[in-house]
Amino acid sequence: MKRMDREDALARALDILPPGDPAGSDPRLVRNAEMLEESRSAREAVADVWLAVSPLTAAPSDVLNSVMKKVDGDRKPSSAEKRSFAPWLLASGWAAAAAITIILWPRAETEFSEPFAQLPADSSGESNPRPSSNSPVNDARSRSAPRHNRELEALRRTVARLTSAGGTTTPRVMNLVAPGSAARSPEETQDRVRQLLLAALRQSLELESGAPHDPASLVIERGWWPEGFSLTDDSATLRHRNFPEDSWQDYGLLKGDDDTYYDPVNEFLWTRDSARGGFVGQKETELDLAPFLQAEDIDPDPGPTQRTQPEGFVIEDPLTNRAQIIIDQIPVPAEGSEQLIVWTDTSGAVTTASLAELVDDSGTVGSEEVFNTQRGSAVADFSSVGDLLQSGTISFSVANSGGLTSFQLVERPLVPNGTPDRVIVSGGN
Amino acid sequence: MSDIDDTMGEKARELEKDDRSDVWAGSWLLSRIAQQDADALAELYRMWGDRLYSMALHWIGDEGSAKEVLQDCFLRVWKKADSFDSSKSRGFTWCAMILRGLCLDLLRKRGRRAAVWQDWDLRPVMEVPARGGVEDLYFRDTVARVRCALDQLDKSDAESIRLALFDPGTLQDHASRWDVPLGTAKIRVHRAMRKLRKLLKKGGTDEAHGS
Repeated sequence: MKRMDREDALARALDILPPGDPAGSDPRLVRNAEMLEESRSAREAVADVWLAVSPLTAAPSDVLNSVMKKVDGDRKPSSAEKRSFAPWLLASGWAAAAAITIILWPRAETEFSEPFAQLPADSSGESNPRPSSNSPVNDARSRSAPRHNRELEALRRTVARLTSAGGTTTPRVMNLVAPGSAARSPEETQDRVRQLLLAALRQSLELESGAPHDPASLVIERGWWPEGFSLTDDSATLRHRNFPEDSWQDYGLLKGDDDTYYDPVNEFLWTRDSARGGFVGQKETELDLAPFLQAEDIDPDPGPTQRTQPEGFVIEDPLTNRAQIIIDQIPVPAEGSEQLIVWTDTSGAVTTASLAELVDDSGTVGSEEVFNTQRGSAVADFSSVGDLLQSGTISFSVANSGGLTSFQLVERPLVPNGTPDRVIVSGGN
Repeated sequence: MSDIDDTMGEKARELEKDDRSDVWAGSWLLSRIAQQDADALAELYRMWGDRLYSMALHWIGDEGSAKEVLQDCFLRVWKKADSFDSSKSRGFTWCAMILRGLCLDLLRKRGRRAAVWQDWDLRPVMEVPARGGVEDLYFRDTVARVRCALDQLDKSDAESIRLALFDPGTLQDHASRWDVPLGTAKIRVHRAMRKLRKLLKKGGTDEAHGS
């Protein structure tokens, strides 16, 4: 080994070679054992010296938060995949959409083509299987658990107080409606919110439970077969916790006469699981389809009217001075526009915040700092039940709300052009 | 070295020998991160975030940029942890080198907008600051070794190392500054680094001095 090789290896390890220096592309420097040792020991010396001469300063916690959000975003399905579920969520009603989004739960060691992940779900009341410490399922759950528990507890309290009618401690509810839409009566609003919260609570409690011996290797929590998703193992069993029995035609399914549905696209037979709840599905390629009904065989049934306009509620708790806001079916912002939430409290103070700032890069409700900068002492604590990209639903709460007298979600041009704000939903006391 | 430092250094070397050395070195956490274990990334941040941030801040000099490179560093660790090989590098060194690359990129971009040598005197000094007893066992030994080694280096070698470590310029820039050929600059930096490494290896004692 020539003497200059060591100098070159060192310079290369420290990234101080001049551009175009032949050592930069000399393969011997990364193959020869002595050169590798030269590089390694140089790097270690540099790291040690750099560490030692740097006065110790605490790393900002917001960097960790930001890193973890981005990491979470990396592990979620792309926004394109999320959007493919929107029709089902809209058809299923916004209470369900707000309660929980689409979740696929990989179980055991089965490998699938896409790493969908999140929370387990089963209502049997048995304890969860415990994924290994390296499991992304475990990671996501353990990290979200404290927040989830807080949400759950808040829901329990709110439902209890809404159910015990009257009194000065009953939460105030404000209905937010689109322009031109009729507002619900106070009784109807109260009833609707109670239904919503109960649905959310039931869903949350189901998520808390789990089944250790469930043969299903994946759980579809809500929605339908993800685009591009394929099973690598034809013998795998899937569980669907909220099978779309009311809209099976929309998904091109065939209906059997004994609580079975057949998906001809994916060649999957779904059967009701009375014991564990929901439906279980398995690959079935040689099924006699004669007994199955197709969509055109069924008389159209209008069913209950679903709201297709944006709608929302502000639930303000006089005891905690905290307002929870849920808005459903938020449209995609027009190009060159942003969506803002604007509210007024009893002091007359008007607060404005960008909806985009409530949603991080991954499309999930995020930062707890937005309102710190917008509103002084008010601290927003955004809940995890909403996912704007996925369902068009957002839910968050504001501490120190101070008695909200009006609330609006508006769309405003990014570059002011004289166009007035377009109101998406609004409400006031 | 004080008695306490001696004791701590001995304890740290003991830890390196047992099973926990992997944890201290971060190899275990990095192997979990390679399997996309986000909790392990958070643990790594809690373990080394302060030190890496301190290093970035000391070199770059402003908090905003230091936060930025720290964030980028951990995101890169997240993405590249599967390429970490504990037989070739200590975990901390691996992370520090990622941070170094990011700092260099940032400073070189700045350097293109201003004269490279303009603020050289503001670059980090090569002195080990007082720590007030807040560093942990593992790094306490490292800090003690570095302090002792730097004390043994002559001024010229220390300046060469300071330049190689903290100036965003290349060896060609250093050669121009010293008014010597590029080859001579390479030899000068290498010689100083070799002395430093020998001193560090010997625990900061003077056996390598003058070699």
